[in-house]
Amino acid sequence: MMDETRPDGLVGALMAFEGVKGSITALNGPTGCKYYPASLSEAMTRRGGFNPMMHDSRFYLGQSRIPCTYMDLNDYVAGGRARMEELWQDCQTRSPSLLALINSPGASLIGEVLEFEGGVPPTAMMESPPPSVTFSEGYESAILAVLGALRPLDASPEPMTVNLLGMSIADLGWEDSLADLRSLLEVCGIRVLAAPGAGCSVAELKDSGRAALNVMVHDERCQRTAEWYRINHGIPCHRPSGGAPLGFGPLTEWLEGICSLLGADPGPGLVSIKEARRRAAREISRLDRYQGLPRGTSFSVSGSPSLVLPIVKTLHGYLGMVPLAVATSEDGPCTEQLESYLGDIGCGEASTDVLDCPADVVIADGNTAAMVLARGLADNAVDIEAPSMVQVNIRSDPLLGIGGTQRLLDRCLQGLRR
Amino acid sequence: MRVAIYGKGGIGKSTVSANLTAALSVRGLKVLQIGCDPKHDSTRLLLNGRDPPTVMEYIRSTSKGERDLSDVIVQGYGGSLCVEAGGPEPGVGCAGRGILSTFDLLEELGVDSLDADVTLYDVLGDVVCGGFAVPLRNDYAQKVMVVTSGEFMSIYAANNILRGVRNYDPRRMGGIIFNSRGDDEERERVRAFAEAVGLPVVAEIPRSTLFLEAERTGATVVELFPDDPLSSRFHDLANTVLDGEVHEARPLGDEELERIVLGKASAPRAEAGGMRVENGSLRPRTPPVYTSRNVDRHEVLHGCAFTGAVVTCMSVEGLHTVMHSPDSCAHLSCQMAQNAARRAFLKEGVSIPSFLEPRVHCSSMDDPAMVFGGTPLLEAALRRALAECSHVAMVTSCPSGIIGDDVISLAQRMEAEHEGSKVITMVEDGNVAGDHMQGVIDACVALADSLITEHPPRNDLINVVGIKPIATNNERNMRYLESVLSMMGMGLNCRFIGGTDIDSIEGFKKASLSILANTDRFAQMLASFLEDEHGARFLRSPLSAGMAGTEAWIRELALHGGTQDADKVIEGLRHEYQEALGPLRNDMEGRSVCIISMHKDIDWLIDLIDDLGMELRRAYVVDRSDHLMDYHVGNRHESRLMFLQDYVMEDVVRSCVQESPDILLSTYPVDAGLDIVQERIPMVPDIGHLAPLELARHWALALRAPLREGWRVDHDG
Ligand code: SF4
Repeated sequence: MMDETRPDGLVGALMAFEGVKGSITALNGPTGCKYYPASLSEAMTRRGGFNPMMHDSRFYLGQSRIPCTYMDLNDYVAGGRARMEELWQDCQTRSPSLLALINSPGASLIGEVLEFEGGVPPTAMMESPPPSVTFSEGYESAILAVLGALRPLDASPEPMTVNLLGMSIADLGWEDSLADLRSLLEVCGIRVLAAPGAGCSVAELKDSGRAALNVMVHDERCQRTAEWYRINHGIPCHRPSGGAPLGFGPLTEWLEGICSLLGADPGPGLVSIKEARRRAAREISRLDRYQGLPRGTSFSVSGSPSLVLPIVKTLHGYLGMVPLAVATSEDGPCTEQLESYLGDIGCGEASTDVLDCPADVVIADGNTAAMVLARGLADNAVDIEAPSMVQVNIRSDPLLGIGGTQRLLDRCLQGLRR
Repeated sequence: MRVAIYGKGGIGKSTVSANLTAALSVRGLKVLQIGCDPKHDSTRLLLNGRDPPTVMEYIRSTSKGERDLSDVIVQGYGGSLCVEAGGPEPGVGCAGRGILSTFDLLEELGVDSLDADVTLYDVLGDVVCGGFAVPLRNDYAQKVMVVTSGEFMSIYAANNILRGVRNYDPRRMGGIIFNSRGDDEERERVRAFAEAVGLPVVAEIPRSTLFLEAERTGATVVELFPDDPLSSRFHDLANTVLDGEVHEARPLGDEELERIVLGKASAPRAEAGGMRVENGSLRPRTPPVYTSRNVDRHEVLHGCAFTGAVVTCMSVEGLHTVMHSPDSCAHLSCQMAQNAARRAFLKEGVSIPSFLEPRVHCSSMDDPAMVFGGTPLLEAALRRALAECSHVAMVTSCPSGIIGDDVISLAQRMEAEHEGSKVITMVEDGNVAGDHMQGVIDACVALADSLITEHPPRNDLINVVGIKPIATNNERNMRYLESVLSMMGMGLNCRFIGGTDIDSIEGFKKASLSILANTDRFAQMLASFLEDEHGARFLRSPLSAGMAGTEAWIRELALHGGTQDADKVIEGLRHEYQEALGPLRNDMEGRSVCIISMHKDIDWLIDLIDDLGMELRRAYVVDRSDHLMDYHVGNRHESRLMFLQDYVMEDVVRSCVQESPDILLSTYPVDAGLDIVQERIPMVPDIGHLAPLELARHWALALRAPLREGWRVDHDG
């Protein structure tokens, strides 16, 4: 399922480490492995980009994130330990909340050791990031390394608290999504303690051991994490069957599932969803009345299964649009449900190549979406995975939750024509 | 207790290890023996001569979710538990990586839950690269024993092992196990070595036919001849392993070793010191002739040659690119190209087909490929590419270089099998060949050498050389060039290389002349190469931003091949320039400016400042290794520029701020406070007579904006 242009496990691991607030991720490897992930991290956390006039220190090489040991041939032959130790010391002086050390593919191949004596910040390590695995696999291995290094508190569970699992700073609008889901849960009396990988602090991660429930947001990324919490902290986990909380139906199901497990009242949250539904219906009914839209228009979608499933359900079941191409970047717990849903709605034969399938709307990562537009295969595009198609987000722009659902509907309907 | 037994291959360490495990097992201890030798015969004598499944084969054949510890552990003599790491055939893959993967898997499957009393690692000690050193890591072996005979190479390996131990916690040496070969002088050599490194000889195992007899039946001496004195030696050794003291690893220098052990200086020279004695799989390289600055000056490498070569190949239409790499390298390269394409499309409405429809294939090197070699995966990727296209470029990554995959023979075989195909091989080995720019140069060289064919040259065509494949203004610049060329009665032949196709590279020689896209080192290297190897002729003046630079190349072109009167063309352009300059001059005249540039070639910028009647207060050109500084541009304005090699950026900025200019122009934003308007000098400036005026238009507008916009009040960082 992996294609060459999709982020892989190394990027997943680096983004998971970068997703801890105040952390430093030190890469033992060549700059070739550093520049793009560092610029992705800068972009997703809204920091400035490459600027050798401002960030010209020895290991940072013009960027503000992911210092590296700029390994070269000599290091491959003689070992790069000495420079890694200097970088490690440099990191110590910057007082990070967490230090994450990771080998590049070449460094791991020559067996570089990342362990150092002493050191103040807690340290997570990945000496042998597995090569050619999915984003999710790399991301989750790094999350587990972080949790192993931080050892969340082993306290009795605090009622009405949850951790949100599987979120990442590599997700478009991650901050706004988190805020959206947080406030939806909050009106139901549920507090989010931590969202590992999505910008939460070391203190929040430590606190995560007290959650009454873990909730999967992107389930392909957190099966092992959920199991880790269950074994080490006895925290049960809820995997909503509809995938990520996106689209009114899947979102409602997500919220009701959590509330019923925690004994919370979903009522206030459902009121918010209902209000948003009413507003959406008003807009859609105008389109329907004047242009007979969106019923019968088409879309193609590509992304991770936990996103694609709720999108397909929403666009098909709620808007009456038809999926012509459906591609998932990897397999996950939602894959089977997606296949059976497509079969049930008579779209089991949908293409899996969004780059070769004309449709009214394409929904994909920014690069794929731009390619589809450039090929003239669609008139309208919605980006759901990085890189973004826009540079600036002044307005809150969540991908998930009520706001995320409104974004998806707005953007899909905006360009529809008959 | 965790013990590592190291020794040179063939020295008998596996026999010693198996007998030691047997001796420990018969006293009721639970012993786990892990064989760390690709030969995977460490535990055979504990298993009646049977070969247990190897962990590496298991990793290769069993998917993640189905793996179980019990599948790789076999029970042997005395209840001992036996594991064999396995590994590749000699000459392929990376056996060290196999050891790493084995340890990772055992840990993942919960080997600790076995609660072994003694874990014994039997490790090949000829090669003490990172993989074979895993058992030496601090959380593995608590005690390290070295098996050696009296042969020099065996003692040499033993000394190397001590070097390895010293790199970790050095106080872990349990002693030397002397496995005698029967050579009279060897006892003396081992004794001298042991004394020199301060270690005890904890056991002497004599040569004996009992070993052979036991081996024939697939058993240990301890099992088969329990009452023989030979067995007692292993029981004594077991005592030492369990209770003996530990000592510090103090390896000898090579000369000292030769002197002490041989008493003369005739031994083989040592390789690189410490743990990294072998990474011989990295291909020996002849230094490249056409180099990037980083490679030429042995500077920090910015980016890797792999991505440079891949991005260049991706920019050629009709060419498929095969990346022999893990997915991460492929992703990083493709992102670079696609991001540029997305920006060009969304911002400028320009579609770059080769990037927007990437024709790339990745061998997706995985863990087993790292151990057993990646050529089968590469072959599959090449076949996929060749099924779609007759021209394929193949680029190698760091891992491919480190494990030493023989990609060249494979490429030749693929070419032979696919009639009429071309596999253009670029052995970059990640950043072993150099930085990103070196990869771009290498790819241009390889593509030119493979594709350019003879054609009768035409004077009305010109090639442009030194285009940066991922610059977003390529299309705009080429449109400008074509418009001027058409005024001259000429046409553009080959864009070398960016937004070009195979036919146009093949037809490079159709044009009798070439022009450089700019003056940087990259373009100049390509010019030298094309002159040296393909007889190309270049105009002295490159394409340029600004009126003066544009006029220079047009005049030169007219002398060489243009059919139209250059004066007339230039007059038209100059008229346009003056027309556009007038209103801007009204806005900018008398304004002061400072410059901090990372480009050396800023004559066009100084021209603009002069033409606008602005006052240049300071102009710094600062050196930086990832910028293309060491080219020889004959700056017309050299006397007005200050070239800085060693500098502190804060000082440079301060010096400009002290001049209180109206505008500070810099390649990147600098920390100059809010009282000065800052504007950017583009990384890859647009070419053409009017291009700089676009910048000036922006300067004029920026000067009308408030110095402190409202949003700044709310910005916390
Ligand atoms: S530096 Fe090596 S490992 Fe990193 S991206 Fe380049 S080829 Fe791949």
